[in-house]
Amino acid sequence: MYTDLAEKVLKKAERAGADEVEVVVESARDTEIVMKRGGIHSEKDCRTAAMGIRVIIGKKHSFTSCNLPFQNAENLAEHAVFLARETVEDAFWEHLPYRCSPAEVEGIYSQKLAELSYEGLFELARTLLDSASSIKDVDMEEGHIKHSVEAFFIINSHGLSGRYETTTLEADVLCAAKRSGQAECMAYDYVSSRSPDCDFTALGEKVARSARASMGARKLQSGAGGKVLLLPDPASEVLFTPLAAAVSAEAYLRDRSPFSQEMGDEVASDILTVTDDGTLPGGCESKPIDGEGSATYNTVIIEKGYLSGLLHSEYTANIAGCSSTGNAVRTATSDVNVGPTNFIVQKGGVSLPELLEELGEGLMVERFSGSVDATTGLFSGVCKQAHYVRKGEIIHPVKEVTLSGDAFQALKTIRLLGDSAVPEYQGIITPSCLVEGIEMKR
Amino acid sequence: MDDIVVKTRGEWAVLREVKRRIIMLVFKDSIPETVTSTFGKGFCARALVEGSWGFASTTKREDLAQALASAEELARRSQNLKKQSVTLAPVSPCRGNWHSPGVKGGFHESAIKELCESIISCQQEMQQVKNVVSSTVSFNIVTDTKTLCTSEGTHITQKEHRILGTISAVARNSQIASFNKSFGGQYGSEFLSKNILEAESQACAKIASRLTECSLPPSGATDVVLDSNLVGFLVHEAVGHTAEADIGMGGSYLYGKEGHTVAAESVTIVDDPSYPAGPGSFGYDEEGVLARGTILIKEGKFEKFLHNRETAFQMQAEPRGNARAWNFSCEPLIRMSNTFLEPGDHEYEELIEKVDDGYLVVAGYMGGQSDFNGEFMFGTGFCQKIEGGTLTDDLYRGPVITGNAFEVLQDIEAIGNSETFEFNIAICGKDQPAFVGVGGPPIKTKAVLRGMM
Repeated sequence: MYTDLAEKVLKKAERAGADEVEVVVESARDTEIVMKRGGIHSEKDCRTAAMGIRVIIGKKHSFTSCNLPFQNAENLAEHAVFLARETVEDAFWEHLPYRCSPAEVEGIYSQKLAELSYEGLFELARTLLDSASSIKDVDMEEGHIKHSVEAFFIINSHGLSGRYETTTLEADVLCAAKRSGQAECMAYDYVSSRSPDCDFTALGEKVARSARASMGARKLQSGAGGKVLLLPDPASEVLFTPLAAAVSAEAYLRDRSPFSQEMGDEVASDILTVTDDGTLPGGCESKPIDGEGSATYNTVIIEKGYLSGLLHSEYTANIAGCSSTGNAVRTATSDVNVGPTNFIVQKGGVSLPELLEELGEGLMVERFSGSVDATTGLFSGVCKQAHYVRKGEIIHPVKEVTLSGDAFQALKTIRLLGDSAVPEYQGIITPSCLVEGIEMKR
Repeated sequence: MDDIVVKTRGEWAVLREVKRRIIMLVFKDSIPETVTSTFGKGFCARALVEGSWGFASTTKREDLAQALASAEELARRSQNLKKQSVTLAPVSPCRGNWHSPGVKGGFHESAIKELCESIISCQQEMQQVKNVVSSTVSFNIVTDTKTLCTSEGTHITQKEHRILGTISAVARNSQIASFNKSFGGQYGSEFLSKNILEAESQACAKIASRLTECSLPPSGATDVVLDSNLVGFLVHEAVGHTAEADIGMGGSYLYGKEGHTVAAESVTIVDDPSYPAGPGSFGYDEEGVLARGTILIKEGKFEKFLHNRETAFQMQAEPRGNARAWNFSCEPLIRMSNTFLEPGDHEYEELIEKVDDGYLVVAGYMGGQSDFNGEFMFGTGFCQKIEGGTLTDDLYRGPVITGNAFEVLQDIEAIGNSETFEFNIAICGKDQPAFVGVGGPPIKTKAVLRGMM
């Protein structure tokens, strides 16, 4: 794990004139199966190791990294010091994190998953291929199964030291429903888990069924009311990706957030509570420490519609005069940023049939294709997998319906939340959302 | 590496070494968020054994022979699970080297200080623009040094220097607005003498400021002039991807349409990795194939797909160097390089004059998506009203532009001349990143704007 090297590099950077030093080492083994057009296409076995060095001289900071092994890796410390001297001062810089106790986090490493063999992966691939090819007129176009075992180690010149290991199993599938050999519509989904207990049969069947159900889409003949039921994937993309960006303390403190100056104000529907939980048991973004060694937390961001908290790294916490929330995001080859861990929208108690019933007449959207400006919250795009709903019943798939609006306004008009929350990309875990006031156009 | 690769027990193998040097600068509001210097290095082996692929990578040079053995082992174990046995289109073994044209010594670290000072100076001026509350400027300066050898005896070295810069301005008045711009290409330290950063940062700040007072345009189908960056993006995203053989065989719009009319007669679209100083240029691909241009659409008719050696054999075509990998740990995929619409013969003013009631649509934030069938949905930076053939002062926030790319290409009435042609650097995200060039002249066509209801 190169821990001895990390300690040598830290000492060398201090001797070269650094006031503060942080050294991060990461190693990973990834095995991946790539599937194309209904069969296995290729396999990968990748082993990587990397080291990153953050150096501070006065209020100047720099970051240097390399893959390991690296010839004269210790000399990289001197390079990092040179780079810090070449840059300019950051007036807001205070200090690197001090020693802390890591959070207790369960379920992020599975010995059984770590020992998954090539044969085990091939078996999973067979399961996914069979399930994704089980529906008439639907082909599995592309899919991946990736198995990762990763280790992270960090030390800094304030005596902070931390390490953890994780395992991950993830899979994605793209299915196309075809007419006369040409793709008419597509469906996509993915799953991710820290343990081997991933239901690949359910994933394959769900994507294939979804692609088939979108065939024969028709344009809406009339207006579809003013309500939209966003399933977890579009809800995550349209509503909560901009929210996660807006509650970064970095955006908030620099006036790049629409919520700047609104701490404690009502910014969303009173049924909305959002937390960022880096300690979630088995969470895909859970870990005991963040990218700079601070303990992770469960931070309340929005409580019953009121802005209650922000995502902080040590840097932004020092500016704001508070403690880090454990939201420093980085790899060994990238400098620290502020970002969400498991960004969790609390579930409501409403089942899908009840959501459809409440929707009455409107659209149920499974996939959104368009642009979302995370700064302004403005979004506009086409529903790619959407269904017209009348009297609580799904009537037919629709095409070319545009959704547009302002995500930050839409947060205020969320009327109901579903009873199951699903992890989506970027760590967002959200239930389906019934929203009023999103504009729809045929 | 040559000694190891010839010992493959499969029918073909390739070994690659990739050294990647990245200098990254990100400044927010004149404060350095990150000044980063990265030394990446790694190796990979890709083997074809009894028609089955295997791939392995490592950061340890001493493990390269083991990586080749692992790739062969994976290929053998999965051979009976594969639907199709792979055969490669033949290419002649070659030995060669390539270097970014016109880039002498790359980007020197001694230039970092000067670049930091230029960024701060530009950001301080951006902050002076009315309503501007925040700005971000980033530079990614990437130098790739690659060595590749195959079991056929090919041995290639190449060095690619690229700079990708982005500017973002956020302005706030009664509403918040942002405008973004990217720039760059194959450059070294000489980029600093080009004053691109100063010009682009001021333009970006002024547009963001004006957009705080603007609304979205009305939604609907309308006559438009698309600016050259938007044309480049359209040609790459919604046309080029459907011409990649792997996407084509998945049932893309262009599947089975070789020789068919798919665009207006004035439309010729090319992908050319050998385009002089193109942002996406390179000499050889990751299968050791000499990179050459491919005409995708000629005078409105679809001509050829882009291939790797596997699909070239399947479709009885000639591989022309489109198998690209982002890094040592990535398997090559079929990718574009520099993709562009050939210029026509109209002055910029003539394009505007052809619009009686419509908009000039300008690229900015390039988010969006396109599907296999040519349907696309792109964000834009802003648009400007055209009335009676004259560009008015009426500015609107960037609408989403949507439609089917091939219908937009069919509706082209006029294409800008070579004076209006521009190339821009972009990062394509098909499974793994790839630097590409996207380009073209502005065009006069019809499109659907999704703005205000």
